Amino acid sequence: MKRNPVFLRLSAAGLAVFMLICAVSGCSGASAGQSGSASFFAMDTIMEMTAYGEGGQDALDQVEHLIFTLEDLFSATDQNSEVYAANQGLKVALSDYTADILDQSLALCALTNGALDITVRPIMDAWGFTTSDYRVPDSTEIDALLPFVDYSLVTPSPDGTLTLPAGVQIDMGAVAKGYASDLAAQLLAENGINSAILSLGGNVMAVGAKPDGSNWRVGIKDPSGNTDYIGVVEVNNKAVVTSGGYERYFTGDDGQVYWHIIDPSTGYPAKTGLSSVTIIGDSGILCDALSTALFVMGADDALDFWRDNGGFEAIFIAEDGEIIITSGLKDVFTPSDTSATVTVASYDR
Amino acid sequence: MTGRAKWVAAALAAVLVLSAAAMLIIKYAGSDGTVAEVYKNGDLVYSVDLSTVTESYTFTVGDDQDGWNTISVEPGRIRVSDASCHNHNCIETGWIGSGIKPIVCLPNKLVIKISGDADSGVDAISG
Repeated sequence: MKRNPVFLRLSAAGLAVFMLICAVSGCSGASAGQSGSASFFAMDTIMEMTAYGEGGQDALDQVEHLIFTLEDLFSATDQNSEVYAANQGLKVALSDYTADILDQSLALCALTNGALDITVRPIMDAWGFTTSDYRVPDSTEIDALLPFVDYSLVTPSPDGTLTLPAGVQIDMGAVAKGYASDLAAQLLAENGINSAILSLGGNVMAVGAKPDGSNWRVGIKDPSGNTDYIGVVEVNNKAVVTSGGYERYFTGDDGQVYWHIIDPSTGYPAKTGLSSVTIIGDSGILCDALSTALFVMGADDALDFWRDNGGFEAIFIAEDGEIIITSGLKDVFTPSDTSATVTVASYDR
Repeated sequence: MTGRAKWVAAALAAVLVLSAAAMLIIKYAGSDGTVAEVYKNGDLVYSVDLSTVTESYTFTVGDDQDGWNTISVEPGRIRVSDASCHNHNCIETGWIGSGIKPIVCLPNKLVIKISGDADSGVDAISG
């Protein structure tokens, strides 16, 4: 074939334009093409995950399997779980996972001075939050149960067994999803995945950065339900966990709203003027635990806790709509309503 | 340029314009965020492009043993109108037609979500 220089030049130009269009319209996208996704029900919630890069789907399949393994161990209602057996007063030989989550959560109970307490389950039962048969227990019933709400009564033995005192029950509900998200992130890393976004029923774990290198955009749920999210926080390699009264509640015969976040010191729903608390940090279990504990503390004590301990950032949404963020979020949090007042808390008291 | 080269250039330009248009249509037409997907136990059991719905209709997913949800579809929106679950959170969620908020029925393991909504602005929701 005779070579035609003009034709060649036009072809080259055409190819270049074609590739440009491809790039713009995203018809290739190698990383997106090899991403994996998973969506399943576990730990009484829905879990949605996307992992980018080669092996993403295989890694998420492993994560799903791991989470079902953890659920089988930690469930308070599954009669075959270690937690269920312990709550029957039996001596339980703890698996490594259960020993580990107990260890970590007992440390967090101590750190928060009992604002998080994994032994609050008898009170949750009395309110019907464990069965959805909601009721308002009278004060004598609560007073009778409060002596059993004390995490210091949970003392795993050095031989790897746990025997709970009569009447004491544990519940991993406030920490299990955060713990699972830590193990999931670790498992993904072991599989060479450095970009993934996991939502364990609203407990978000952002692994690495987005495939294009930018930060993940995590919406913070609007506690009022009027909009999808009240603001966006941009993160990478962070857990973002929110606790709010809106997650589970009922209206009593007295017309009052009672929600599932119980103050372990009183046995009553924690009413501290907050609608939700979001914790952002490196550890999923820490964020999970603190989102509950700082909700119970209320904004003032919670901010003092943050000043004393550090190591995380927080977003508080008050019942009156006020948004308070800790200083580390100043440049990465954007409220959806740009006219909203955002108070930035500093380390100075 | 020779006469033949002009023809080649014109033909090439036409092909480029048409392919560009086709790619943009493929990219954006399918992702305008109106396809509702219904999942039961994690499996996709029903999907409908809400923008093509002209008449309202209802159907039921599940059974007495596995839990059932009656789903109502109207032009541009979808909701759970009745369900066997005890808390009826799925019904209280109301209509959805766009955005990121799915309808979730935990007891019956049912999820309805709008797929391909590229413009939700966030990668996940914490809460």
